[in-house]
Amino acid sequence: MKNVEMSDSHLLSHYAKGDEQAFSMLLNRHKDKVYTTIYLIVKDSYLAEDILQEVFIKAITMIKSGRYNDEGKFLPWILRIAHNMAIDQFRKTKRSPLIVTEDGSNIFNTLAFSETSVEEIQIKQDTHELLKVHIKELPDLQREVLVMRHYMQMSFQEIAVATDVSINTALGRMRYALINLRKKFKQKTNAYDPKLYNK
Amino acid sequence: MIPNFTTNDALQYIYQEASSQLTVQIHIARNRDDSFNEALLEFELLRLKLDQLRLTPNNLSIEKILAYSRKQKFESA
Repeated sequence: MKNVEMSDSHLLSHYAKGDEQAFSMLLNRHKDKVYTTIYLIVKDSYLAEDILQEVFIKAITMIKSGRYNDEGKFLPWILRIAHNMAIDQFRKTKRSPLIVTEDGSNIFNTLAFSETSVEEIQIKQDTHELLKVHIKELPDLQREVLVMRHYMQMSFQEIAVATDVSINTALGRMRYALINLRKKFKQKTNAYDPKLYNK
Repeated sequence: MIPNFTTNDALQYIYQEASSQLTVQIHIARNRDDSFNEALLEFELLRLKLDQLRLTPNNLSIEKILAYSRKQKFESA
């Protein structure tokens, strides 16, 4: 059985007949996308790993109990589960009491920033790392739209419905997310502009 | 930005969600206006970077999921 030749539906039908290898292929095909979606919402790799396991355990349970209705849309289905679980976890975390520093900022933001300064600077050439950091710094509503559009492959109309806003609001949030990312990239680039240091 | 288009129009064009009529209009406009074209290219590049971002989970998580699946029995209808 070749991974590239099998659609998700075919793999699921093999899995339904007890072929665990088919599930392994399905998992390996979609694990990065599901994990990326979760990680960009919860912003913590350990938590994202836990949620990823919960998501697929829920999927396995539903498929093996015959409660999954495929209709050829496995990826949107599993991404929806991932998104809901990640958002639930994110809300729980937000309800937890914050440890606030003297200047009023959340200590966890400070820690994240320190981590960024020391570790992320060392790998500043790595666009993915920078992008990951910048996305994590976006306001929640902008990050949510960005994750839904880029990693859950939802259209702006679908995002508008899912988040209960107008399509113009969804587009506006995406626009600000892109503008903020562009600004952050420019700031980073300027910070290491060799012209500044060669004077 | 060319005044005939809103930023939301441009965004829908970048994400290939604009109507075919709007797509053609923006396509013509970007060929005529270098600064508009540059602004679009900048966001198209950013979109590409975002699309390429893929994070990979730990192998241990994947092994745990596969082990769980092997243990779970199918419920007969």
